[in-house]
Amino acid sequence: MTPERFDSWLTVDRKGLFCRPGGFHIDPLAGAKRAIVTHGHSDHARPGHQHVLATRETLAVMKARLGAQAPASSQTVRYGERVKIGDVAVTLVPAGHVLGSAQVVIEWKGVRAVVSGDYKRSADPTCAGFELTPCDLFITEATFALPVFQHGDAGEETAKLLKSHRQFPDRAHVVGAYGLGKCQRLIALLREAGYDRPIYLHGALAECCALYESFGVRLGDLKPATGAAREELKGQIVLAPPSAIADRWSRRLPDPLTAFASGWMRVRARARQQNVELPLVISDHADWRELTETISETGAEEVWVTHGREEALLHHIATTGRKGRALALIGREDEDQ
Amino acid sequence: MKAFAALLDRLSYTPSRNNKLRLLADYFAATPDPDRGFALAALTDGLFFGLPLRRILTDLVTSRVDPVLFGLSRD
Repeated sequence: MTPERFDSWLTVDRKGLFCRPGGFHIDPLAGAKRAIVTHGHSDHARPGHQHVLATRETLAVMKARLGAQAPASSQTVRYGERVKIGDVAVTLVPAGHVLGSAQVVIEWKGVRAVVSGDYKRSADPTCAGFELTPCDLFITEATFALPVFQHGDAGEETAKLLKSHRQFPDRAHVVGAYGLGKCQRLIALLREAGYDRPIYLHGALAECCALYESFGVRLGDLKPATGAAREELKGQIVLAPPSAIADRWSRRLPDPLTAFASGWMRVRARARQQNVELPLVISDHADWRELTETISETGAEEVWVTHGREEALLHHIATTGRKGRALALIGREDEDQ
Repeated sequence: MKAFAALLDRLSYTPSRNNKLRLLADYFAATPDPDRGFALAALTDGLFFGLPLRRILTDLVTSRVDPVLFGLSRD
Protein backbone atom coordinates (compact mmCIF):
# COMPACT_ATOMS: atom_id res chain seq x y z
CA MET A 1 0.00 0.00 0.00
CA THR A 2 1.39 3.37 -0.95
CA PRO A 3 -0.21 6.48 0.51
CA GLU A 4 -0.01 8.35 -2.80
CA ARG A 5 -2.19 5.71 -4.47
CA PHE A 6 -5.35 6.45 -2.53
CA ASP A 7 -7.19 3.38 -3.79
CA SER A 8 -4.50 1.12 -2.33
CA TRP A 9 -5.58 1.98 1.22
CA LEU A 10 -9.10 3.44 0.85
CA THR A 11 -11.29 0.91 -0.86
CA VAL A 12 -14.97 0.20 -1.45
CA ASP A 13 -16.32 -3.20 -0.47
CA ARG A 14 -19.90 -4.46 -0.20
CA LYS A 15 -20.40 -2.59 3.09
CA GLY A 16 -19.07 0.69 1.72
CA LEU A 17 -15.96 2.83 2.10
CA PHE A 18 -13.18 1.00 3.98
CA CYS A 19 -9.84 2.23 5.35
CA ARG A 20 -7.51 -0.76 5.21
CA PRO A 21 -4.65 0.35 7.49
CA GLY A 22 -7.20 1.48 10.12
CA GLY A 23 -9.53 -1.50 9.67
CA PHE A 24 -12.70 0.60 9.75
CA HIS A 25 -15.61 1.48 7.49
CA ILE A 26 -17.19 4.92 7.17
CA ASP A 27 -21.02 5.02 7.24
CA PRO A 28 -21.19 1.33 6.32
CA LEU A 29 -24.25 -0.76 5.58
CA ALA A 30 -25.50 -2.94 8.44
CA GLY A 31 -23.25 -5.04 10.62
CA ALA A 32 -19.70 -3.67 10.30
CA LYS A 33 -17.05 -4.70 12.80
CA ARG A 34 -15.71 -1.21 13.25
CA ALA A 35 -17.48 1.88 11.89
CA ILE A 36 -17.08 5.62 11.92
CA VAL A 37 -20.48 7.27 11.51
CA THR A 38 -20.66 10.83 10.16
CA HIS A 39 -24.20 11.67 11.33
CA GLY A 40 -27.46 10.18 12.54
CA HIS A 41 -29.56 10.03 9.34
CA SER A 42 -30.73 6.51 8.68
CA ASP A 43 -28.87 6.14 5.37
CA HIS A 44 -25.57 6.80 7.17
CA ALA A 45 -26.17 5.48 10.69
CA ARG A 46 -27.12 1.87 10.05
CA PRO A 47 -28.07 -0.70 12.67
CA GLY A 48 -26.07 -3.61 13.97
CA HIS A 49 -22.43 -2.46 14.03
CA GLN A 50 -20.13 -3.97 16.64
CA HIS A 51 -18.19 -0.80 17.38
CA VAL A 52 -18.92 2.80 16.38
CA LEU A 53 -16.81 5.91 16.69
CA ALA A 54 -18.83 9.14 16.36
CA THR A 55 -19.64 12.41 18.08
CA ARG A 56 -21.64 12.36 21.30
CA GLU A 57 -24.66 13.81 19.49
CA THR A 58 -24.58 11.23 16.69
CA LEU A 59 -24.31 8.38 19.17
CA ALA A 60 -27.29 9.79 21.10
CA VAL A 61 -29.32 9.90 17.86
CA MET A 62 -28.34 6.32 17.02
CA LYS A 63 -29.32 5.15 20.48
CA ALA A 64 -32.70 6.90 20.28
CA ARG A 65 -33.50 5.70 16.77
CA LEU A 66 -32.02 2.22 16.66
CA GLY A 67 -32.88 1.00 20.15
CA ALA A 68 -31.68 -2.59 20.50
CA GLN A 69 -29.94 -2.32 17.11
CA ALA A 70 -27.69 0.51 18.37
CA PRO A 71 -23.96 -0.29 18.37
CA ALA A 72 -22.79 -2.82 20.95
CA SER A 73 -19.84 -0.63 21.89
CA SER A 74 -18.94 2.93 21.04
CA GLN A 75 -16.30 5.60 21.35
CA THR A 76 -17.19 9.27 21.65
CA VAL A 77 -14.87 11.87 20.15
CA ARG A 78 -15.06 15.64 20.27
CA TYR A 79 -14.70 17.79 17.19
CA GLY A 80 -11.00 18.33 16.52
CA GLU A 81 -9.84 15.51 18.83
CA ARG A 82 -7.24 13.39 17.03
CA VAL A 83 -7.44 9.66 17.76
CA LYS A 84 -5.16 6.87 16.60
CA ILE A 85 -6.64 3.74 15.06
CA GLY A 86 -3.70 1.47 14.27
CA ASP A 87 -1.31 3.55 12.16
CA VAL A 88 -4.05 5.92 11.10
CA ALA A 89 -5.00 9.22 12.76
CA VAL A 90 -8.69 10.13 12.66
CA THR A 91 -10.24 13.51 13.46
CA LEU A 92 -13.91 14.46 13.27
CA VAL A 93 -14.54 18.00 12.03
CA PRO A 94 -17.93 19.80 11.90
CA ALA A 95 -19.85 19.27 8.64
CA GLY A 96 -22.68 21.75 9.29
CA HIS A 97 -25.32 19.24 8.12
CA VAL A 98 -27.27 18.40 11.30
CA LEU A 99 -26.56 18.27 15.05
CA GLY A 100 -23.36 16.26 15.65
CA SER A 101 -22.59 15.81 11.93
CA ALA A 102 -18.93 15.38 11.09
CA GLN A 103 -16.45 15.10 8.28
CA VAL A 104 -13.88 12.37 8.80
CA VAL A 105 -10.25 13.43 8.42
CA ILE A 106 -7.97 10.42 7.91
CA GLU A 107 -4.19 10.79 7.98
CA TRP A 108 -1.81 8.00 7.06
CA LYS A 109 1.90 8.23 6.24
CA GLY A 110 1.80 11.97 5.67
CA VAL A 111 -1.21 11.87 3.34
CA ARG A 112 -4.59 13.30 4.28
CA ALA A 113 -8.02 12.24 3.05
CA VAL A 114 -11.27 13.96 4.09
CA VAL A 115 -14.66 12.26 3.86
CA SER A 116 -17.23 15.06 3.81
CA GLY A 117 -20.27 12.97 4.77
CA ASP A 118 -23.32 15.14 4.07
CA TYR A 119 -22.53 18.80 4.55
CA LYS A 120 -23.55 22.39 3.93
CA ARG A 121 -21.71 25.70 4.16
CA SER A 122 -24.65 28.00 4.91
CA ALA A 123 -25.47 29.07 8.46
CA ASP A 124 -27.54 26.83 10.70
CA PRO A 125 -28.28 27.88 14.29
CA THR A 126 -28.87 24.27 15.36
CA CYS A 127 -25.44 22.79 14.63
CA ALA A 128 -21.73 23.58 14.47
CA GLY A 129 -20.70 25.20 11.18
CA PHE A 130 -18.68 23.42 8.46
CA GLU A 131 -14.92 23.70 8.86
CA LEU A 132 -12.69 23.41 5.84
CA THR A 133 -9.73 21.01 6.08
CA PRO A 134 -7.10 21.15 3.32
CA CYS A 135 -6.40 17.64 2.04
CA ASP A 136 -4.89 15.48 -0.72
CA LEU A 137 -8.04 13.45 -1.36
CA PHE A 138 -11.53 14.85 -0.84
CA ILE A 139 -14.45 12.40 -0.79
CA THR A 140 -17.61 14.42 -1.32
CA GLU A 141 -21.36 13.96 -1.39
CA ALA A 142 -23.22 15.11 -4.52
CA THR A 143 -26.92 15.15 -3.55
CA PHE A 144 -27.55 18.50 -5.27
CA ALA A 145 -24.72 18.43 -7.80
CA LEU A 146 -26.36 20.23 -10.70
CA PRO A 147 -26.06 23.96 -11.45
CA VAL A 148 -29.86 24.34 -11.15
CA PHE A 149 -29.54 23.73 -7.43
CA GLN A 150 -28.89 27.12 -5.84
CA HIS A 151 -30.46 27.01 -2.42
CA GLY A 152 -30.50 30.74 -1.73
CA ASP A 153 -31.11 32.26 1.67
CA ALA A 154 -33.04 30.13 4.16
CA GLY A 155 -34.12 33.31 6.00
CA GLU A 156 -35.93 34.53 2.86
CA GLU A 157 -37.72 31.21 2.50
CA THR A 158 -38.80 31.44 6.14
CA ALA A 159 -40.10 34.95 5.44
CA LYS A 160 -42.23 33.46 2.63
CA LEU A 161 -43.81 31.07 5.11
CA LEU A 162 -44.51 33.86 7.58
CA LYS A 163 -45.98 36.09 4.85
CA SER A 164 -48.35 33.33 3.79
CA HIS A 165 -49.23 32.79 7.43
CA ARG A 166 -50.25 36.47 7.65
CA GLN A 167 -52.14 36.34 4.33
CA PHE A 168 -54.14 33.27 5.28
CA PRO A 169 -54.66 33.68 9.03
CA ASP A 170 -57.35 30.99 9.25
CA ARG A 171 -55.48 28.23 7.47
CA ALA A 172 -53.25 25.75 9.28
CA HIS A 173 -49.85 25.87 7.57
CA VAL A 174 -48.59 22.31 7.57
CA VAL A 175 -44.91 22.16 6.69
CA GLY A 176 -43.21 18.92 5.66
CA ALA A 177 -39.76 18.69 7.22
CA TYR A 178 -37.43 15.75 7.84
CA GLY A 179 -37.40 14.76 11.49
CA LEU A 180 -33.69 15.02 12.20
CA GLY A 181 -32.20 18.38 11.35
CA LYS A 182 -34.59 20.13 8.99
CA CYS A 183 -37.43 20.26 11.49
CA GLN A 184 -35.27 21.82 14.21
CA ARG A 185 -33.56 24.20 11.78
CA LEU A 186 -36.91 25.43 10.51
CA ILE A 187 -38.12 26.00 14.06
CA ALA A 188 -34.91 27.92 14.84
CA LEU A 189 -35.31 29.99 11.65
CA LEU A 190 -38.90 30.84 12.62
CA ARG A 191 -37.73 31.87 16.10
CA GLU A 192 -34.93 34.01 14.59
CA ALA A 193 -37.56 35.72 12.46
CA GLY A 194 -39.47 36.63 15.62
CA TYR A 195 -42.22 34.00 15.49
CA ASP A 196 -42.85 33.25 19.15
CA ARG A 197 -46.22 31.47 19.04
CA PRO A 198 -46.39 27.76 19.81
CA ILE A 199 -45.29 25.51 16.94
CA TYR A 200 -47.30 22.30 16.62
CA LEU A 201 -45.57 19.01 15.92
CA HIS A 202 -46.63 15.71 14.40
CA GLY A 203 -45.84 12.97 16.94
CA ALA A 204 -42.98 11.58 14.84
CA LEU A 205 -40.99 14.81 15.23
CA ALA A 206 -41.20 15.23 18.99
CA GLU A 207 -38.40 12.88 19.98
CA CYS A 208 -35.72 14.52 17.83
CA CYS A 209 -36.77 17.97 19.05
CA ALA A 210 -36.40 16.81 22.66
CA LEU A 211 -32.98 15.39 21.81
CA TYR A 212 -31.85 18.70 20.29
CA GLU A 213 -33.07 20.55 23.36
CA SER A 214 -31.14 18.15 25.61
CA PHE A 215 -28.02 19.31 23.74
CA GLY A 216 -28.84 22.95 24.44
CA VAL A 217 -30.60 23.91 21.19
CA ARG A 218 -33.52 26.09 22.26
CA LEU A 219 -36.65 25.67 20.17
CA GLY A 220 -39.25 27.60 22.17
CA ASP A 221 -42.84 26.56 22.79
CA LEU A 222 -43.62 23.24 21.03
CA LYS A 223 -46.99 21.49 21.27
CA PRO A 224 -48.30 18.17 20.00
CA ALA A 225 -50.58 18.54 16.97
CA THR A 226 -52.07 15.11 17.40
CA GLY A 227 -54.90 15.37 19.87
CA ALA A 228 -55.15 19.18 19.62
CA ALA A 229 -58.67 20.49 18.90
CA ARG A 230 -59.35 21.48 15.28
CA GLU A 231 -60.24 25.02 16.38
CA GLU A 232 -56.93 25.34 18.25
CA LEU A 233 -54.94 24.56 15.06
CA LYS A 234 -56.62 27.28 13.00
CA GLY A 235 -53.94 29.65 11.75
CA GLN A 236 -51.10 27.71 13.37
CA ILE A 237 -47.83 26.45 11.95
CA VAL A 238 -47.72 22.67 12.12
CA LEU A 239 -44.61 20.64 11.27
CA ALA A 240 -44.93 17.07 10.03
CA PRO A 241 -42.75 14.46 8.34
CA PRO A 242 -42.96 14.66 4.53
CA SER A 243 -44.91 11.39 4.39
CA ALA A 244 -47.71 12.90 6.50
CA ILE A 245 -48.33 16.17 4.62
CA ALA A 246 -50.35 14.59 1.82
CA ASP A 247 -52.15 11.87 3.74
CA ARG A 248 -55.19 11.63 5.98
CA TRP A 249 -53.33 13.03 8.93
CA SER A 250 -53.12 16.53 7.45
CA ARG A 251 -56.68 16.51 6.07
CA ARG A 252 -58.09 16.75 9.55
CA LEU A 253 -56.36 20.13 10.02
CA PRO A 254 -58.46 23.26 9.40
CA ASP A 255 -58.17 24.23 5.67
CA PRO A 256 -54.53 23.08 5.50
CA LEU A 257 -51.99 24.89 3.34
CA THR A 258 -49.25 22.43 2.46
CA ALA A 259 -45.63 23.61 2.49
CA PHE A 260 -42.46 21.55 2.19
CA ALA A 261 -38.94 22.57 3.24
CA SER A 262 -36.43 20.79 1.00
CA GLY A 263 -33.69 21.47 -1.54
CA TRP A 264 -35.79 19.51 -4.03
CA MET A 265 -38.39 22.28 -4.00
CA ARG A 266 -36.16 24.10 -6.50
CA VAL A 267 -37.61 21.68 -9.06
CA ARG A 268 -41.17 22.69 -9.94
CA ALA A 269 -42.21 19.18 -10.98
CA ARG A 270 -41.24 17.80 -7.56
CA ALA A 271 -43.39 20.34 -5.75
CA ARG A 272 -46.33 19.64 -8.04
CA GLN A 273 -46.04 15.87 -7.71
CA GLN A 274 -46.44 16.25 -3.97
CA ASN A 275 -49.26 18.80 -4.21
CA VAL A 276 -47.20 21.36 -2.36
CA GLU A 277 -48.82 24.78 -2.30
CA LEU A 278 -45.85 26.59 -0.77
CA PRO A 279 -42.46 25.12 -1.71
CA LEU A 280 -39.61 26.31 0.54
CA VAL A 281 -36.08 25.81 -0.75
CA ILE A 282 -34.33 25.04 2.53
CA SER A 283 -31.67 22.37 2.37
CA ASP A 284 -29.14 20.86 4.75
CA HIS A 285 -26.95 19.82 1.81
CA ALA A 286 -24.40 21.84 -0.13
CA ASP A 287 -25.76 23.33 -3.35
CA TRP A 288 -23.84 23.39 -6.64
CA ARG A 289 -21.84 26.47 -5.73
CA GLU A 290 -20.92 25.17 -2.27
CA LEU A 291 -19.90 21.77 -3.68
CA THR A 292 -17.66 23.22 -6.39
CA GLU A 293 -16.15 25.95 -4.20
CA THR A 294 -15.43 23.50 -1.40
CA ILE A 295 -13.64 21.12 -3.77
CA SER A 296 -11.47 23.97 -4.93
CA GLU A 297 -10.80 25.29 -1.40
CA THR A 298 -9.64 21.90 -0.08
CA GLY A 299 -6.79 21.97 -2.61
CA ALA A 300 -7.30 18.23 -3.14
CA GLU A 301 -5.56 16.72 -6.15
CA GLU A 302 -8.12 13.94 -6.37
CA VAL A 303 -11.87 13.95 -5.62
CA TRP A 304 -14.15 10.97 -5.13
CA VAL A 305 -17.92 11.32 -5.30
CA THR A 306 -19.95 9.08 -3.00
CA HIS A 307 -23.62 9.45 -3.91
CA GLY A 308 -26.00 11.75 -5.76
CA ARG A 309 -25.63 13.35 -9.19
CA GLU A 310 -22.08 12.18 -9.83
CA GLU A 311 -22.01 12.84 -13.57
CA ALA A 312 -22.23 16.63 -13.44
CA LEU A 313 -19.79 16.93 -10.56
CA LEU A 314 -17.26 14.62 -12.23
CA HIS A 315 -17.52 16.73 -15.37
CA HIS A 316 -16.81 19.84 -13.32
CA ILE A 317 -13.90 18.17 -11.49
CA ALA A 318 -12.33 17.24 -14.83
CA THR A 319 -12.53 20.85 -16.02
CA THR A 320 -10.51 21.92 -12.96
CA GLY A 321 -7.68 19.51 -13.85
CA ARG A 322 -8.32 17.21 -10.89
CA LYS A 323 -8.71 13.48 -11.00
CA GLY A 324 -12.28 12.40 -10.22
CA ARG A 325 -13.92 9.09 -9.48
CA ALA A 326 -17.49 7.96 -8.78
CA LEU A 327 -17.78 5.52 -5.87
CA ALA A 328 -21.48 4.83 -6.54
CA LEU A 329 -22.13 3.78 -2.96
CA ILE A 330 -25.46 2.05 -2.73
CA GLY A 331 -28.23 2.55 -0.19
CA ARG A 332 -27.97 6.30 0.18
CA GLU A 333 -30.48 9.13 -0.18
CA ASP A 334 -33.21 7.63 1.99
CA GLU A 335 -33.48 10.52 4.32
CA ASP A 336 -33.15 14.27 4.39
CA GLN A 337 -33.00 15.02 0.75
CA MET B 1 -40.42 42.68 -10.58
CA LYS B 2 -39.41 40.35 -7.76
CA ALA B 3 -42.76 40.81 -6.04
CA PHE B 4 -44.54 40.04 -9.33
CA ALA B 5 -42.39 36.95 -9.87
CA ALA B 6 -43.22 35.82 -6.32
CA LEU B 7 -46.92 36.39 -7.02
CA LEU B 8 -46.81 34.29 -10.22
CA ASP B 9 -45.01 31.58 -8.31
CA ARG B 10 -47.66 31.49 -5.59
CA LEU B 11 -50.52 31.59 -8.11
CA SER B 12 -49.07 28.67 -10.06
CA TYR B 13 -49.04 26.46 -6.95
CA THR B 14 -52.39 27.59 -5.48
CA PRO B 15 -55.33 25.45 -6.62
CA SER B 16 -58.24 27.28 -4.98
CA ARG B 17 -59.85 30.23 -6.77
CA ASN B 18 -60.58 32.12 -3.55
CA ASN B 19 -57.01 31.73 -2.37
CA LYS B 20 -55.76 32.99 -5.75
CA LEU B 21 -58.01 36.04 -5.36
CA ARG B 22 -56.57 36.70 -1.92
CA LEU B 23 -53.02 36.62 -3.32
CA LEU B 24 -53.99 39.00 -6.16
CA ALA B 25 -55.80 41.42 -3.84
CA ASP B 26 -52.82 41.53 -1.47
CA TYR B 27 -50.42 42.13 -4.35
CA PHE B 28 -52.45 44.99 -5.87
CA ALA B 29 -52.96 46.60 -2.46
CA ALA B 30 -49.23 46.50 -1.63
CA THR B 31 -47.64 47.34 -5.01
CA PRO B 32 -47.29 50.93 -6.29
CA ASP B 33 -47.92 52.17 -9.83
CA PRO B 34 -46.71 51.67 -12.48
CA ASP B 35 -45.63 48.14 -11.45
CA ARG B 36 -49.11 46.96 -10.62
CA GLY B 37 -50.39 48.34 -13.91
CA PHE B 38 -47.84 46.30 -15.82
CA ALA B 39 -48.69 43.31 -13.64
CA LEU B 40 -52.40 43.65 -14.41
CA ALA B 41 -51.66 43.93 -18.14
CA ALA B 42 -49.36 40.89 -18.03
CA LEU B 43 -51.94 38.81 -16.18
CA THR B 44 -54.74 39.73 -18.58
CA ASP B 45 -52.80 39.18 -21.83
CA GLY B 46 -52.46 42.93 -22.31
CA LEU B 47 -48.71 42.83 -22.96
CA PHE B 48 -47.44 41.71 -26.31
CA PHE B 49 -43.85 40.71 -26.91
CA GLY B 50 -42.93 40.51 -30.60
CA LEU B 51 -39.89 38.47 -29.68
CA PRO B 52 -39.12 34.74 -29.55
CA LEU B 53 -38.64 34.86 -25.77
CA ARG B 54 -37.99 31.17 -25.24
CA ARG B 55 -35.21 31.12 -27.84
CA ILE B 56 -33.65 34.32 -26.51
CA LEU B 57 -33.57 32.87 -22.99
CA THR B 58 -31.98 29.61 -24.20
CA ASP B 59 -29.37 31.56 -26.19
CA LEU B 60 -28.58 33.71 -23.16
CA VAL B 61 -28.07 30.65 -20.97
CA THR B 62 -26.02 28.62 -23.45
CA SER B 63 -23.64 31.52 -24.01
CA ARG B 64 -22.86 31.57 -20.28
CA VAL B 65 -23.16 27.97 -19.11
CA ASP B 66 -21.13 24.84 -19.81
CA PRO B 67 -23.14 22.91 -22.45
CA VAL B 68 -22.69 19.53 -20.73
CA LEU B 69 -23.97 20.88 -17.41
CA PHE B 70 -26.85 22.65 -19.18
CA GLY B 71 -27.83 19.39 -20.89
CA LEU B 72 -27.71 17.44 -17.61
CA SER B 73 -29.75 20.12 -15.84
CA ARG B 74 -32.50 20.05 -18.47
CA ASP B 75 -32.71 16.28 -18.36
